[in-house]
Amino acid sequence: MAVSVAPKAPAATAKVNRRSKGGGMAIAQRRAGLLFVTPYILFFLLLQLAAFAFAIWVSFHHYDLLALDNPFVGLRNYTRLTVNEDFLIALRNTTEYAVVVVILQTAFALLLAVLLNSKIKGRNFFRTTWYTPSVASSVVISMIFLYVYHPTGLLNSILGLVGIHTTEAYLQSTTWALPAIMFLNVWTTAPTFMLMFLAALQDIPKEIYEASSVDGASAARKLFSITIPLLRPIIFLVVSLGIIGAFQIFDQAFIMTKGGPLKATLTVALLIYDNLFVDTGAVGVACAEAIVLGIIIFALTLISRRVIDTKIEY
Amino acid sequence: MRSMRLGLALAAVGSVLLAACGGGNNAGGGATNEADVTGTIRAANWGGNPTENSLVKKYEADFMAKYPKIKVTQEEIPDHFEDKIKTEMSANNEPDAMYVSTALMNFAAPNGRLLDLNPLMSKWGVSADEFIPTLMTPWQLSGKQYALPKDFGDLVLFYNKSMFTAAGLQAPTSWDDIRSAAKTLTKGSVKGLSLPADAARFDAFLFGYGGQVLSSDKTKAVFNDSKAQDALTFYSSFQLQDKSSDLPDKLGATWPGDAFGKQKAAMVIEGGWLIPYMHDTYPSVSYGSIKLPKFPVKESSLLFTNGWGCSAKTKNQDACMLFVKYMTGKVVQQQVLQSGFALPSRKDLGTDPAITANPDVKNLFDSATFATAWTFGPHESKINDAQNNAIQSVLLGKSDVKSALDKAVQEANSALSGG
Repeated sequence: MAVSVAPKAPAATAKVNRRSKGGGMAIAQRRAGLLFVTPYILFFLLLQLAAFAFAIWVSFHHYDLLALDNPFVGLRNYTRLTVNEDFLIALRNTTEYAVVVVILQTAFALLLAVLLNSKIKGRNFFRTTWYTPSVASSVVISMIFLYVYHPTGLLNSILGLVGIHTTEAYLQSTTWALPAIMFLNVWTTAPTFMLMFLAALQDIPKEIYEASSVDGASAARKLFSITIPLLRPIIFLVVSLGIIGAFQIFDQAFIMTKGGPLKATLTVALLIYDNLFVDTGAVGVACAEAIVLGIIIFALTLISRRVIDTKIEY
Repeated sequence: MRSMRLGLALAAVGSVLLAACGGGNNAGGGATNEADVTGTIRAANWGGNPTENSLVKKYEADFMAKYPKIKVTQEEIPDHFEDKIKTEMSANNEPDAMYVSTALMNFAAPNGRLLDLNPLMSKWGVSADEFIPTLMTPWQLSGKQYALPKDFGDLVLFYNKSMFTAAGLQAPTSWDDIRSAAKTLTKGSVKGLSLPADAARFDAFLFGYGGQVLSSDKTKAVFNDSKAQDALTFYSSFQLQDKSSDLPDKLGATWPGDAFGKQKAAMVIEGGWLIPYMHDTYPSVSYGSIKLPKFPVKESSLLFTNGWGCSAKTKNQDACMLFVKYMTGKVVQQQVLQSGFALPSRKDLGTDPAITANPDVKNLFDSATFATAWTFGPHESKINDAQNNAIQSVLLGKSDVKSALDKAVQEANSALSGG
């Protein structure tokens, strides 16, 4: 599996080099190495780690973007989150969104990959067209879907062709707005994960399938007993990347619904934005929310690793 | 999934830290003659509308032609104007001159981020008496004047003349007329009226019914009393009871004016911005307007105004003031009036033929006498969110009037008490 093996190999060679060749060469190499990583390390320290540390500090203060004095308030920003109705709504929406999107996009991506991995006609055509949504910017996709979901838009026109006549305004409906964004996201993200699955599928040794054919296994049996178990590491990767992305859902909701109608699509990241920019006095609250969100994502990633990425033996 | 990274949000906060030092103090300058004032100023305007944006550009070029020693750089902010200015202020990097919306005024002035214009007004010969008094008050706080009104807009009722004529109806003169006309004109996918779930429309009804959004000392939200309930019951009755109104997006429109232009709604309550919009986008639709008829308690309309103001940190106070003076002056406002975008905030333009000769513009200008400025202090975004949610939940049938308003008042009060 290309993804998991790649980082290990260079490290091993480096070690060998250092021991076998002496003196100046190794130091020069190390210097060159440091030089190459310095821009990223600086970028990381300044824009990620420093900002992250600052956010933790801010989360313990009553922080107003425009005020000069920002008093320390201890854990108040955190404790108030437990009774903050908006935060609880946002958390519920985001969780609901993440559960549906991660399950659907993983299943959908796997399905597409398996289809592409079989010898169907026009494979390259499908590969290109299916991947197209992932290439476009999410902002562009969101704008396009504003027209798709419009009461007289594409979706309702298509429904009209099959005899379902409706002028439902999906993005203005408390029932449909969140599912509409879920669908859009599954559609745009699944192809990226499809590529990962496809790469992994091609790594599975043919011999195993051949052996199972000899034993008379059906196609479904092969999928569930060979393909999926052997894909576990990549499934873990896809699920955890999916969880991370889904919990950070922002741009689609920001562009398409602004969190409405009636907070039906209010997500945690959207709420953080609102607290940060719309409500200047709530920067501390926004940082507390961001850190809680970070902890949730971190914890879920660890759990999914536990559940999915277990060793299997044949 | 290119969603907003956690880091991005944090980096935005981090920028506050990075831009710790900043803004030197006013180098007042000794110039006492307009022609001697020098300097470069950055001027930010909300540029959501391309036509308006290019007009601002033209006025700024005219200004530089008149004051060749002052250079103006236009900074156009197409969307999220206040958010952008707020971030720039927190990084001490805001423009010298900027549009001051009531929202901007409400967060920037109490934090001392806007320049008090009073001393500069007397220095450069600008008198508060030149402006309509109700338009000056939104920019005042503890005796200081933080911006000058550049124009204003208010609400009237626009009606589709051909649809009215085809149905044999006269221009309405009362709410009873409007209600029966709305019923008559509702046919198929066309509604008689389009009332949005928007406090910027509903509050005209609220005030007309004698209600208030905030208590007189502005410390409490009070828009759930019986007057407010009556107002919202009436506002929602068109859609819920008569089925003669619908939300613009349900009519396939982005805003009520769009529904009006597409002839999906025969009447809308909008402001002067509808006139150039109809002219540019739907020139074939013939329409008329009336002032909002008297509500049960009083006549009412909402007043929306924007001003030009200066950053408290600007190094070129005199140049900035001259710019504000010019942009709110007679020359510019007369052109704004002729372009049809907004109404002049100056008394001396009240008798301009562009107003007196156009009945729609005259209705708008005259409505200012009984209109209320739509601004609710530092927490207004939360207060308006709460109101909008209440209106929306009633119009979507998710809640009854009383419980929707009670809940909204509770939300607004928690914002007012710093929750």
